[in-house]
Amino acid sequence: MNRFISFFLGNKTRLLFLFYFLIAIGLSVQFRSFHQSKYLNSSWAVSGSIFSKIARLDNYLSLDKTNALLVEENKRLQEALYNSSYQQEDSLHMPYEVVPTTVVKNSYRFLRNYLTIDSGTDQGINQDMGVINQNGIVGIIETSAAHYSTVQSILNVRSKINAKIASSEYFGSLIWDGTDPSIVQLVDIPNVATIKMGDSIVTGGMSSIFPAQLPIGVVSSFKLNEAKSDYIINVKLFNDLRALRKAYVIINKDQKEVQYLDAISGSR
Amino acid sequence: MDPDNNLYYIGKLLLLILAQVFVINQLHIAGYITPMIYLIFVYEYPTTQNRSVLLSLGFFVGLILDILTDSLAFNTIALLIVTYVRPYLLGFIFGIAVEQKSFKFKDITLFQKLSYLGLLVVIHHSVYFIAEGMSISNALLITKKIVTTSLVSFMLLLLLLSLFSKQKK
Repeated sequence: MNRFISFFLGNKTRLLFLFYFLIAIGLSVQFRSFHQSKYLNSSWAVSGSIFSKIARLDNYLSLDKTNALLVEENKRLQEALYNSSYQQEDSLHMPYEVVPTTVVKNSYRFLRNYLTIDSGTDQGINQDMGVINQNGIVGIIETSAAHYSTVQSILNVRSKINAKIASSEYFGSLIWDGTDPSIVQLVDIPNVATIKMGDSIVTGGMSSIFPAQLPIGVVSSFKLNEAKSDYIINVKLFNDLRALRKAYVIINKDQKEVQYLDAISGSR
Repeated sequence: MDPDNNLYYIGKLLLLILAQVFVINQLHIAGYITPMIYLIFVYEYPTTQNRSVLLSLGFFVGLILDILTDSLAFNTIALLIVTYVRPYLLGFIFGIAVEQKSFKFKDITLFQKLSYLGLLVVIHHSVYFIAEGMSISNALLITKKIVTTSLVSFMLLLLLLSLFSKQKK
């Protein structure tokens, strides 16, 4: 027993290190498995409010630029509104709701990037909802607290988003290789597809997260993969994810229904 | 003020964390290099103090940084390892002198200072970026990040240390 105690006392630094290290590894590994940042995320009330205070100051200094963007967007929306009367199909079924929000923390320098936005469950925001801004897609909600949510950016090596070439119906997955924050990769497009430089890439609408036909970017280069079966396409983003201020969360009221159907058919 | 004073040290630590998260993290040299200055606290921690306290500080500072930057315990893992190996580094570079009460960082030679800081930075950054990449397919990218970020952090840390060090009389 004495020896046992003296072993502990003699190695107390080593044991303390092991204890902390196991906790750290545990936190890291647990979050790698699925929706990861359950505890270590900036949607906590304290850090969220610090970030939002700083973002507010930052926003104030760039009001001019934000205004210009909003005017641009208004113009486009009004055009869409005036044109929409010609193509109305079913005005009662409107599955998408849009919640405007502000990005309070942005990151693009890691391999796994997350943003923090200043709306959360109180605004009806939950996991797996899409986030866009006026130029295209931004990411997917990862966790949400009452007033803040974290967003898995498309600049995250774990991100995988259904996308297709606008001019054809071939669809694949949008991923990021972690190198250039203005370029993402579209993979799993079969080699029979015809691709041209400058083709537009849009969301595929095969998931319940983003509506179809949202703009993503243009083809900047492409090559076949090693097996020569699929294309790997570099997509230059329309969106500059290094400068995000305002964003919109898309709430899909049909999402539960679609996920339920996916689950019972075993396709997930 | 006595630099061994705990309150002074903790205040400085909080300032370092805030500076890292809200100032330095907005900096992206060449698009992807973000230096990590919070290593100063590991560098400066008094040699006479308890090792367990430094380990615990490393753990909690890492955790705070991870929460504020949405990183998956990478800061915690890297800081734990660097705080754990620090006594071995000190012994390796300064020899027996470290164990004497009279040892002071301001008395060390320039070469000792550079190698001590350099090793701290390289060990910390290697662990950090390997934990972040965690896949052999990223080996090239990880190496590039380790080398470039270590260099920038090293230079910035040297600058900060010389800015805030007390004048030798």
